[in-house]
Amino acid sequence: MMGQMALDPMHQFKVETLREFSIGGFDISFTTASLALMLVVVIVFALLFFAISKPKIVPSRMQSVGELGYEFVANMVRDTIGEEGIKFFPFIFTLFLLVFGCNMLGMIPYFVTPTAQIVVTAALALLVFFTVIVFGFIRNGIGFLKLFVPSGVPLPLLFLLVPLEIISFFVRPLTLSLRLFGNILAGHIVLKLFVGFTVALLGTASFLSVFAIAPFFLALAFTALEFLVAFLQAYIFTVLTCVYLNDAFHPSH
Amino acid sequence: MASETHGADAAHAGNSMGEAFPPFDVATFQSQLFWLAIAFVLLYVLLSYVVLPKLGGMIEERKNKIASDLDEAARMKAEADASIVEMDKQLAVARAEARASAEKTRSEIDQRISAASAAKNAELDQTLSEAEARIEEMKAAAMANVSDIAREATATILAQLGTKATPKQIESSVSKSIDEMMA
Repeated sequence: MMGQMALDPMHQFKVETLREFSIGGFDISFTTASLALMLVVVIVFALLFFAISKPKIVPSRMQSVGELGYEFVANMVRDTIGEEGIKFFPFIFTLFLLVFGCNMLGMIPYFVTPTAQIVVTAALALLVFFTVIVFGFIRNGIGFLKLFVPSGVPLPLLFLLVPLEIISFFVRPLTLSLRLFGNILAGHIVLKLFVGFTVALLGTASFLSVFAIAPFFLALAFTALEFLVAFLQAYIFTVLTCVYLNDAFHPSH
Repeated sequence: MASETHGADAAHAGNSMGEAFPPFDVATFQSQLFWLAIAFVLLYVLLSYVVLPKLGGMIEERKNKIASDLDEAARMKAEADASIVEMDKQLAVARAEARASAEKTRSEIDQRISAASAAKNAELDQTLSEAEARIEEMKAAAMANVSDIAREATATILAQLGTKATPKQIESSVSKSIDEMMA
């Protein structure tokens, strides 16, 4: 029965309630997922606070790391949106660090990975989606709709292209959330499977235990890959956020 | 306790086929959304009001410092270049001055030398002409004596030879032969 539980690769995504709360019928129980989210906030803030605690012209190591992260996201914003996009920098920086932090925390065994919860990635993707729409209309007014009308295209083609542009626009939150969710979920399932095989093979306590070495090394390799994926998916999520926000700044393309 | 957990797990495993896959478990969505909102807003506020101004400020400060240091370096280089130009100019002036002063001294010396040598030459010319005049005088005197001696000797020789000749004849022939000799 222990083996069965260890082998269940879905068990790790189960959110357990630690303490039940509710306000006006709205369930706000503190769960293992909430714990992970809060830990991410605390860790990210603690690291950055450490980075800015003793500012120097010649930076200390932590300060360098902090500045590296700042420049990384700032350059991303500048390159995709331009100098005027810098007002969204705190938003994008927060998004990046939250997703990256969740992905990285998920690499520690026994922690729930918030970014492997579809509701979390969907909420973040919808936040980006509606930010683009609301800001797009505030900035450009009705001109924001030019987003759906590619310029310099003959009229007959527009009948084909405009619906495509509209579909691709409205599909964005779906792809944005599913990409992150799917990558993190799949990675964790694969890891769990290989580790589960290793444990199961060792558990036979027979000559089969020798073969445990194969899934063990695969798990090792996948762990390295998952760290890469953790960063990459956070990066992709953030870059796409910038690209989508760019539409709000420059709707005619 | 342990057996209870296992029991629950087993029950869970038993109906997991029919049960939703955990991330799709709608029952957890409300609390997850709530805590995500809390986490996002908290992190956003902490970052945008505490961390980012400071981090951005530090980077900005470093950029300014580097820019101002570069400016300072450029200024100092310009100063050094100006000093070099100034030095070259002064050097050229000093060199020209030295050349002029050397030229002046040389011409002065030349002048003095030529003046001194002219004076000496004049002196020497005078001495020479004086000496020549004396020589001429003495030569004339000697020449006068020569004709007297020649006349006396001729008269004596002629007397010894017993040849009679008037002093006038002697005189004319002697002066004639002297003139021939002198010519």
